[in-house]
Amino acid sequence: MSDLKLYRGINNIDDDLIEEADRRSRPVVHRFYAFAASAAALLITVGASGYFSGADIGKKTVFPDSGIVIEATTASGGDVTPVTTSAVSGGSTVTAAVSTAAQTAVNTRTTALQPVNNTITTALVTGKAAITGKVPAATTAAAGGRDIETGEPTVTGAPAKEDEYIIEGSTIMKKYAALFASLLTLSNAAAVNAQAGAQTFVPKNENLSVAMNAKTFIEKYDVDIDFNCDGKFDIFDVYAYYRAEIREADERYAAIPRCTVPDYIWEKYKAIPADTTLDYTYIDSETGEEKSYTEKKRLVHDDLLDYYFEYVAPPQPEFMDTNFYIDNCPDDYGDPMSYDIIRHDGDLLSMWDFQRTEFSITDDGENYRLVDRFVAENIPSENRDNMEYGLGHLRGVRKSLMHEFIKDVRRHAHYTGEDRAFVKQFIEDGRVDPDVNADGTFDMDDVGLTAFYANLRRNSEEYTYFYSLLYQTSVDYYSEHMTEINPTVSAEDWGRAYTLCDTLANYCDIDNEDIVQYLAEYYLTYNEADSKYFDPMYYVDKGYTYYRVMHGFQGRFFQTLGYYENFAIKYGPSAANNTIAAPEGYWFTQDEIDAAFPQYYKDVKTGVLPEPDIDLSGKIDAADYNLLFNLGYEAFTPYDTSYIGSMIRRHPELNIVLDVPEEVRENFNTNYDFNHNGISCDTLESDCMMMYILSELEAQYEEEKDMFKAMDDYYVAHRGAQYFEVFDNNMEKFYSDKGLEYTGYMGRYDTAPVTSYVETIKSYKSFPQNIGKLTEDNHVTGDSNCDGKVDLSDAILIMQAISNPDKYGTEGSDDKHLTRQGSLNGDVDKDTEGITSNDALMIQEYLIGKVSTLG
Amino acid sequence: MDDASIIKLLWERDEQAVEELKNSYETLCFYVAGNILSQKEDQEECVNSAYMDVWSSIPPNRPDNLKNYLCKLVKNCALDRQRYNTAAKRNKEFSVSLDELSECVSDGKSLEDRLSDEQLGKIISSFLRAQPEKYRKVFVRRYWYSESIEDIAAYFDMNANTVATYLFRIRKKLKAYLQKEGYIDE
Repeated sequence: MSDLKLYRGINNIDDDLIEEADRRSRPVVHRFYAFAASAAALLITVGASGYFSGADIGKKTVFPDSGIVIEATTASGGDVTPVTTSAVSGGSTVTAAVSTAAQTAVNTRTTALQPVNNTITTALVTGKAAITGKVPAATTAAAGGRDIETGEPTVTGAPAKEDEYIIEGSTIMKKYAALFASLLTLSNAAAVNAQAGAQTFVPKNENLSVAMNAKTFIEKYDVDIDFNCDGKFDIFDVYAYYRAEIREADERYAAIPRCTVPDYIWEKYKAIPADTTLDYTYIDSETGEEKSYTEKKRLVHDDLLDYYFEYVAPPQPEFMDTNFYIDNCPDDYGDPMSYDIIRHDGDLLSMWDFQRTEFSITDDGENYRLVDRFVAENIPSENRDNMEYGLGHLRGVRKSLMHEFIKDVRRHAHYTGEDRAFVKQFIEDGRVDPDVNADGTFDMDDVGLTAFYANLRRNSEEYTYFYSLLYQTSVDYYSEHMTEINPTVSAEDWGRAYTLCDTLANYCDIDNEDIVQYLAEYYLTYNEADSKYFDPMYYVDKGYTYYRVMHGFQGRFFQTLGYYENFAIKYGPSAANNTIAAPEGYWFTQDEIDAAFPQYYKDVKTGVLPEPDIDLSGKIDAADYNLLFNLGYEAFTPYDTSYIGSMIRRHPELNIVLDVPEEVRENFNTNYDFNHNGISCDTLESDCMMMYILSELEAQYEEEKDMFKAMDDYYVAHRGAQYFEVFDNNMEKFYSDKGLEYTGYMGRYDTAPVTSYVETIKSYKSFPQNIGKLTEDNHVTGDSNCDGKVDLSDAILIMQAISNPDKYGTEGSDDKHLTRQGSLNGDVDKDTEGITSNDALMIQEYLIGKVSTLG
Repeated sequence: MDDASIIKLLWERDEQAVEELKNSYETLCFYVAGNILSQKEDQEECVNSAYMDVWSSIPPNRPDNLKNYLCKLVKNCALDRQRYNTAAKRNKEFSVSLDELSECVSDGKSLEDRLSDEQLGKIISSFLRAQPEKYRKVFVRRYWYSESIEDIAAYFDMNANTVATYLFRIRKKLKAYLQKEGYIDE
């Protein structure tokens, strides 16, 4: 039986079982933790193995292009000679003035960083002992682990609790890790190489693993890949395989087959073994290691495309051109429509023509004509039949299989990153003209204008409808909008940008904003760029930065000028003369942060490290999170490639100094260097602390909305400490001083500050949370006051909560009231649900040894 | 509109039934398809195909539970579609759960090749009814609802490791059951 058959069987289980599983009920889990009386004797390791050990931390220094801005210092030996490049038309040369002055960070943090030592006494959460003096290293005894079959923990004694903290920390990390992942992505962004000297940007094949696996399959089963039997393996063999897949699908599902496949191809296709099990290898995208796994596999045409592009030949632009297949494919697939209606004029196929020729319709079953997709999909239901597989069953309409195959080719070509080369090729052989503003040269002004166009136009995904004949194209759009948006952009400029993007979009599986990226990278690789091009205000002055939020468009080019600045330094003509210098310790990979957190969590819970009480209030609350969040931005942003970073570096008047007490700032800058790299609250430390704070806040609030309200309340009461709000205010003044109308900076959403703050937090949540919900799996039985140990104070708190719930109950007013976590912990008498006096009694009996276990 | 009314419209061959079906269950259908297929286009095809299948099969069928009936159709289509998708197109979570189920089966021919999906469904239902409620629910949410382990843990307020352990145990039991009943080879 195959696993898929079993899956199908499961799909057909009885309805009542399906309904039952849809009803939420918490399966009862009983867990028992045995604690020795010496549970309070915490096992503490300091400076021993673990992530924060210091010298052998093994941390990599990685400076992603979407991360910090590096400084380029020209090597000794003189000025850099600008490289000139010819414009595509006219033959004039362009010489750009070189300006590589290092940007000075305007926000200098204190450099008098004190190494963290545990002689600092901090006000920790009530109930925990303050750490004073050096704590001698101790050995962590091996814990018992868990019984696989019963799932019950077999740990006894204090070491088990430390392992529980690690597990707890891992759970919390998985919950929050997505909060802190980079939000800024660029299409196959140039990887960073921290070494100095000339570097060549080499895109990586995102589907290398698939290609490798296809190769394994082909070799193991000795597959004859000359599917069309013409003596060679080329793109037409992959096309033949695709057509055979269509035939197979049609034989199973379609009333009328969409095409025919020659027998010589069909026989070869049927000979391919299916449902094989193979050992595959793949390249771990994070570590670059080669790893292996076993999977059941059937070869599909997508695999063959990856195989072809990796091992036979790189993708070629003609593979995206319908004329190429019409004129060169040696095999007949019995497509009902005449190819004459699909063939295009001109050397290159535009996206407009590609979309326009995708659908055809017949009235008599023989003669086909092109039909607009928008029209096709709106044929009244009485005129529909079950003719076309998957196209809403529209009568007489055919979707071109050639187009479908080309879409796959385009996508897989993009995976290789080689589609960048198409841009270079088309520009250099003159088939496209990137001189969008027609000033005789191709430079970043053209890129900026194209970006302006791209920001206003929909991306290629929506070309599906945008190119509908019912929605007229660029000229109408221009005349409808441009005079009010930017009268300096002429209809001709707009048309040239449209033509450029329309053509490139067909050959690169990317949207207009990605095309802008490709153009910029191409320009910066071969030309020195004036630094003015990396100043967002340059484009504001040109009127290019009109931001209309439409389907998420935010003008990515103008937000990511820092990335291009970095790109120019590393890959531009002067790269060989640039020494790349970057500040230490600000950025860590997500893997490093994820790996660090469980240990950090354990170290804090066991008192090795102080809790992240940033505001020195003696407790963990919303203020700590808020301060960490905002002070972190204040510290890092001047070094990063964000829009705000770019603006601050070039316009020091925008520098942000948050209104926080000096002692809080000092605390942030000095007391949280857990990894001993000389920087307190670097990104790894900050992220760990923020995750810790969030997990603590979860336990404090019964409802998620209450936690957010607390965050909101702090935000409103401390607006001067809110990084983005302060920047927004600074920008408003900056614009006003320049006599410009300010409508918000890039990336800012038009919501009230409080709401936007909460939404910012919420927007980071990429998966459902159970804030405030508790599990029985992560608690200390009997520990009603949540101080990590079971003693008489736990019993007392239970009695207080019962006798005076207004003050000590879960909604009580006292600071030390019973929390939800505490009530769960304290509910040790399973004969009665919830906190009762029996729980207090049982805890006392346990303490005196009358009962050996709790719960 | 409630299910009974929709079924009534289907029996009357009123095309409004399909619109009502969409209004009631489109989101769910895409959710079910999305748990198996990552490409929006594929999901749309499967959901549309399921609507057609409902139209074609009711009458003569008159399902007791229209929601589950429709979801099963969507899933079957998605499973067929998934078969042809490459790793790049697949929903990774679905691939992982499929790999888990492979532990329950083995290669080689046996009687179960002649079993229909419906018959196998009955057999598995019988097995599940003999299991503790908590295990049963976790199993169904994982392999019928195609949820991730993390989502199941959140749904039932459990620890993710516990969910994984439950699934591990019940798969072992299912394998033993299928072997004992002769549906797969030893």
